[in-house]
Amino acid sequence: MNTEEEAQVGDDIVVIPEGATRRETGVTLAELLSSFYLWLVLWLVAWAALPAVFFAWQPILITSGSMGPTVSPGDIILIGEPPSDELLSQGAVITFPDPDVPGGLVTHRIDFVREDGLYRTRGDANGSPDSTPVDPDDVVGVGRLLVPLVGLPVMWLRTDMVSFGLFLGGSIAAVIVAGGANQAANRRTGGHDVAAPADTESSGPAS
Amino acid sequence: MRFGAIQASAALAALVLSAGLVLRISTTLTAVSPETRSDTAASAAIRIGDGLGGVPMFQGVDLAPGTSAERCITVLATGSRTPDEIVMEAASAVDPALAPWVRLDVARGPALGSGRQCDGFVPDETVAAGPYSDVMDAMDQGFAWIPAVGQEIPGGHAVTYRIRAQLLPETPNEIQGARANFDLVWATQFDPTGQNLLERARALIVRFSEDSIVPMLGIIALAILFLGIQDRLDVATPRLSKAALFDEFVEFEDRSGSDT
Repeated sequence: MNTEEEAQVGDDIVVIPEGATRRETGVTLAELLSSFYLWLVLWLVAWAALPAVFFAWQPILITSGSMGPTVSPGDIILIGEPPSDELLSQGAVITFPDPDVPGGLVTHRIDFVREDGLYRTRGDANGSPDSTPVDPDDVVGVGRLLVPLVGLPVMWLRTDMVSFGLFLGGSIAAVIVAGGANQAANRRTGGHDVAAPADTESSGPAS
Repeated sequence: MRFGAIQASAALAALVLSAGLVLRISTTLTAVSPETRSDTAASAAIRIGDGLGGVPMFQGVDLAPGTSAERCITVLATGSRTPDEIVMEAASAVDPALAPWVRLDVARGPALGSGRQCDGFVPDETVAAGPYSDVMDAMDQGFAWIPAVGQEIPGGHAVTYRIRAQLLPETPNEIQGARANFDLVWATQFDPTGQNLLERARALIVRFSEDSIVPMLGIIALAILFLGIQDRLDVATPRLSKAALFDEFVEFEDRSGSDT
């Protein structure tokens, strides 16, 4: 039996069409990693989008490093409605209007709850608390879920076109590479099932 | 391995990894203790100081027409991170009648050490020079110093600024008694986790692997190693290398009646 020319599984003969071997059209590591990368991006986007749909959690793009290293620029934090009948506890991450920037939002952690019921907040990376206390009624939302990195392309689109271009180019390349095996198969089969050419069938094991 | 199976495996692995990332990191939204946060704030600290110990640079300086006064201040950038840049800005309050008659020169050079005297100062470059108002207007935009290319000191970098104020000789007498005050501020902004993608990825792995029994990096390395080895084995094995990749290519022949 010439195992380089034939393939056998038990008593069944595997009929191999021309060019359909793993060596020639098989899925390479690059294709595998590309698929994995694309799926990872898809799932991360889903983690950011689906809670917004099902739980009405609002996605907020983090743009500063004041909450580092816990929360980094480019992360998406999903905030939910704050409780209306009780105070939040120390350590909760809240989003509230920026006292210095009209229309802006700040996402910081509650450093402690003052005796008058106001929150003293602080960014994890900041050495001192924020100067303006936060009224519980002003809290826009409480951090529920943190999705890392998924907002980076949006940040790059605004501030760093080189990085955005690299991301876009890399993703397109991953789509091309990941689809390579499937496209190769479609080219050979015309997109539908075909019988193997007779001249490529292998015979049984040599006796 | 079939194409569909590979896609399903990749999708499943990505789902598990993304879920692990999101759920693990999301616990820090409520579970970080104040002590831990203090540590992280301290570990990412950049300290900016000066060699004057709180002594005003120009306090009580009297200038007559045609005279000048100069003071030096050494700015220190120390801490666990080197900032990309430290910007010098100024806030000024000056008698409007005095401003046209004062000339400011701001120069930068190697660090002198403590004190506000400029003995031995050798300027590397002039940061700004001109009429008081022009220099202060320029200060609104700030003058950047890049510590990484500055003079190294233990634990960081340092630079000395020299500020020279001159009352022009033709200053009229009616200006006598006018005052000018200005505050100089050195400030920086930085991202504790870094903006570089590789640094971000490393920080993400560190965040994920904190308190984890199995380090995240190890899981990824093992997964890639497994996939790589498995791929090599598949390709190197004669039978597997000939194995059909897609369902539509596989046919099984009934050999029960064969005489071979």
